[in-house]
Amino acid sequence: MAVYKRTYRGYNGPLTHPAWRFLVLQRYAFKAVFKSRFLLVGYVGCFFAPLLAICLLYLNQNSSVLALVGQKPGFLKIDAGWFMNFLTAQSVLAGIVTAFVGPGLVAPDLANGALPIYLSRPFSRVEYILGKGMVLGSLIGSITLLPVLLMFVIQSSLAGYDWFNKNLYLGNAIILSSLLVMSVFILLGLAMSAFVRWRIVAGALVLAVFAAGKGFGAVINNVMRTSDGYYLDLQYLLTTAATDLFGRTAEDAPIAPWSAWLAILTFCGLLLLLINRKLRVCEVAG
Amino acid sequence: MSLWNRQILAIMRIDLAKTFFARRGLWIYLLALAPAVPMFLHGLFDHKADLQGDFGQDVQIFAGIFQFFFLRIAIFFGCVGIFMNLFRGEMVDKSLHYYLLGPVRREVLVIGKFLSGLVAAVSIFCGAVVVQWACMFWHQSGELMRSYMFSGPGGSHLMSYVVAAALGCLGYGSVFLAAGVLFRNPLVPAAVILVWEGANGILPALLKKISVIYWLKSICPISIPAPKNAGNGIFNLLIFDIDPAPANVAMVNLILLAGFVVVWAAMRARRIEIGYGTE
Repeated sequence: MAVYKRTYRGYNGPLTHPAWRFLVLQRYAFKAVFKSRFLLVGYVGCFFAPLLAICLLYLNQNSSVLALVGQKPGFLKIDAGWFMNFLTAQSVLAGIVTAFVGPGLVAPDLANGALPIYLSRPFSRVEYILGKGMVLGSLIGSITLLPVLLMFVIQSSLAGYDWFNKNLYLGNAIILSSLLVMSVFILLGLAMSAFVRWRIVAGALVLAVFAAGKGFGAVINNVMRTSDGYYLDLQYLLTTAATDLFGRTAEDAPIAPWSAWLAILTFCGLLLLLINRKLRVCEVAG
Repeated sequence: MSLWNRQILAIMRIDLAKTFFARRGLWIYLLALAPAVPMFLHGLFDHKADLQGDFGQDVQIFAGIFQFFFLRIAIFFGCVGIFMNLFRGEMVDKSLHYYLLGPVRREVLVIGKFLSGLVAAVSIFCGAVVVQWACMFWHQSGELMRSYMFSGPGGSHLMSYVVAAALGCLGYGSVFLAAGVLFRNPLVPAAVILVWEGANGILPALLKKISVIYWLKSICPISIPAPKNAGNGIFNLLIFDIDPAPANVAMVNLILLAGFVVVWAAMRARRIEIGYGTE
C-alpha cells in the first residue's frame, strides 16, 4: 500500500488585525450567552422599563394628550433624581445579568483546561480578559448606559436647548456612572468566575458580594457604632459615587464621595489581582 | 437497624466529611462567624476604655444582626452553598453516578443527603450563634450575665435564636435541596427566592406566609423596628417589620414545609438523569 507523505500548511486566510482580536472571543462568547432562552427573555425584559419611561417622557411634554387626562405639560419632574433613580434600577438588573452571564465566561475554560488552547494562539492574556469582559460590558452598557442616555437625549429634544444646556452635567454623570457600574460588574463577574470555577456558585457569589457586604457593613456600623462599615457595602459605595456625579451629595452623608471612589478603586484593584492570579497558564520548563 | 436506615447513615457518613472539610465550603464558616469579629472587637474596645456599654442596646443590636444579617444573608447563602452542592456539586465533580449505580432507592439517597446537609448546616450556624452571643456579651460583668441568663430572659432568648437558626437551616435547606434536584441551574430559583424573601415585609398578609423568613422572624424573641434613616436601595426591603405568628405555630409550619418539600424532591429524584457534558 502506498504511503503518501502528508504535509501540513499554515493558515493562509485573512488575519484579524491584532488590535481587534479580542472581538473574536467576544463574538463567540455572545453566541454561547444567547443560547439560553431564559437569559434572552430576561435580557429583553430589562428594556421594558426604559421603553415605558421614554413613553412617559414623551407624554410629559405632549400637551394635547395631557389635556385629555386633565394634566399640564411637565407634570413629571425630570431632573437629576429621575435619571439617577432610573440608572439605579437598571444597575440592579445589570447586577442580576452579571450573576447569570459572568460565571459562564471564564469558569468553563478553567475547569476544562481550555485556557492554554486560547493562549497558544497569537492571543494574549490581556486580550482574553478584554474579550470576555467585553461580553459583559456590552450587555451591561446596553442595559444601563444606552437607555438612560437615550432618555436624556429624548428629554433634551423635547424640552429644548435651554434644558439641555442647563442639564448637560447630567449627560456626563450618566456616562461616568454607567462606566463605573460597568467596570465594577465586569471585574466582579470575571473574578468570581475565575475564583470559583463552578458557574452556579460563582453566580451566587456575585449576588452574595452585594448582599453580604451590605449586611456585614451594617453589622460593623451597629456593633462598633461607626460608619466605616459602609466601606464594605459595594452598593452604597457605588450610590455615593453616582450621587456625587449627579450633584446630589447630602451634607450629612456618612462617607465622603472621594473616599467612596477610593474604596471602589481599591476593590477593583483587588479584583484585578485575583483575575491576574487565577488566569495563568502553567509554563513547562524545557 | 433496617436497610434504609443503614443506607442513610452510610450516605451521611460520606457527605458529612465532604461538607465539613471541603475547601469549597470554607466561605460558609467565614459567613457564619463573620459577625463575631466586630462583636468581639466592640467588647474589647469597651473593656479597654473601662466602659460596660449599654447592655439593653447590645441586646437590641444582637437581635438586629441576627434578623437582618444572620437569618436573611448568612443562613440563606450558607444553605445555597451546602444544599445545592449536595446534588449539583456531585454533577460538577462527575461523581453522582456512583450513588445512582448503587442499590439505593432515590428517595433514600435524597433523604440521606438532606440529613447530612442539615447536620452540617445546623452545627455550623447554631454553633455560630453561640459564638456570636459569647463575643457580644463577654465584656459584661459576670454578675449581670448570670442574672440575665438564669434569672432573666437571656437563656430563653439564646435558645430562641438557636432554634430559629436550626429551623432556618431546615426551611432553606429543604427548598435549596429541591432546587438542586429539579433545576440544572439552581441559581435561578435561588435568585427568585432571594427577592421573594427580601420583599416579604411589603407583601400582603396571605403571601407573607408563603415564605421561610416570615416564620423565622416569628420565632425571634425581640422585634426590631425599621430604622428611621436607612438610606435608599432595594436592600432596605430586608429591614421591614412584620406581624409575627405564635412561635409554636411557626415551628410546626416550618417543619411541615420542610417535610413536604423534601418528600416532593425525593419523588422527583426518581427522574434524575445525569448529563455531565451539559453541566
